[in-house]
Amino acid sequence: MSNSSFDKKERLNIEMPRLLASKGKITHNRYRSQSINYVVSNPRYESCLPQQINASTLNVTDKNSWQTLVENKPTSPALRGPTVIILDTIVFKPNNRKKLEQTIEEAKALLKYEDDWDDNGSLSTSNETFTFATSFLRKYADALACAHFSIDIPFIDITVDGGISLKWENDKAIFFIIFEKDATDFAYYYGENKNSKQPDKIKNGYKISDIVDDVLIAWMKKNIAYEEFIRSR
Amino acid sequence: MRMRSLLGPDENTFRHVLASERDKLNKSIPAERCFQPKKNDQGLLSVDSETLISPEESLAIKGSQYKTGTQNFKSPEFWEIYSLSVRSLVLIDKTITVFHDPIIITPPEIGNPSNPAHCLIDLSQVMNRIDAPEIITQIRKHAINRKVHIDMEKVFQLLEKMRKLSIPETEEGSTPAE
Repeated sequence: MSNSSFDKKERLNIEMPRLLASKGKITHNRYRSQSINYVVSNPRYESCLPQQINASTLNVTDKNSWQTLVENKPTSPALRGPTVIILDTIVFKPNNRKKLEQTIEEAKALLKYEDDWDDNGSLSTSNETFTFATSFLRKYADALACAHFSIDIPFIDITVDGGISLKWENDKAIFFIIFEKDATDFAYYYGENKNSKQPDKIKNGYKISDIVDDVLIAWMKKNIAYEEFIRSR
Repeated sequence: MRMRSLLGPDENTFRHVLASERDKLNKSIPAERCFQPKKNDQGLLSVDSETLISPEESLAIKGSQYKTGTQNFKSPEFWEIYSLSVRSLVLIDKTITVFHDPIIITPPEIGNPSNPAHCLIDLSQVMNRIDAPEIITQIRKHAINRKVHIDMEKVFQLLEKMRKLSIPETEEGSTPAE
């Protein structure tokens, strides 16, 4: 990437966490104490830059992307003045939390279903069951957000026995969890990666009162969530 | 105890699904709940044998039933049929069986038709709490590309007679749907 496109006026000499916080996109800050190391690959500067450098300045290129920049005073007399190299670009994919809340709001229509809602004897659900299911959803969405991941939007549905199910399905995977009506102990889930060569299945019980399960979080990250920051070098 | 007449691995069954029960992530396919047996049904899922009945006859029987607690018939146009193969069901779990369970109402009652092709998929061995999400997911995955074409004109012709008599009429020479 050429450094000629860099406009000094656009350069914000502030650290990444502060910038992100000012945009109101995230509340957690994993960058605060983290220095980012890059290996310089531009052969023009190889002679004058150390192999690893700390980058702490950013260039805002548009609403959702930042370029990390490095300013360095060259040690070689052949290069005059400070030079700036664009080392990589971070693209920010907005968190879909607002859409998630909207989906939960819309799903409240399921609470209005009465017994025999399908003319086939299916049962209505309960407020408690709906709350358990949506608490799970919010709990895991929050946990993923801490790691700067955003969970995909699920399909919230009622089951024939009055339970509430959450289902995620995309090109990569499917994940399905059932909160049985008035069950206060466990909800059971099944997930599978659609990659037939390396199937990655997950099946277990989620203790309703419990904190988040790290194994499930790791599986979700790989299959039904996306990273909010994507680096392209 | 009566012996169960099991369907063979090469046979197919028809599962009725309400067309409105859609998967909101992909509105062209049915939701998981369409393939979930109720607890009261003890892990048994109702289907019809494709060998014994055509999809039109199967849907006409559905349309000859009263809605629960009313004297209004179910509307066949709101329903779809998905074909489930016995072999594929057994591949999901070897404990799954499908057996013939004819419903014969004598004397005939309006709104409560007989269904000689009625069968049950026995999921009782696998429909425990921990396995249920997987089994439902797998059955639905098998079904979604197997929607059966239905000649609705034929269904309405059959309904005209069946709603009066509540006796399923099998057409001569009817063949199982593909």
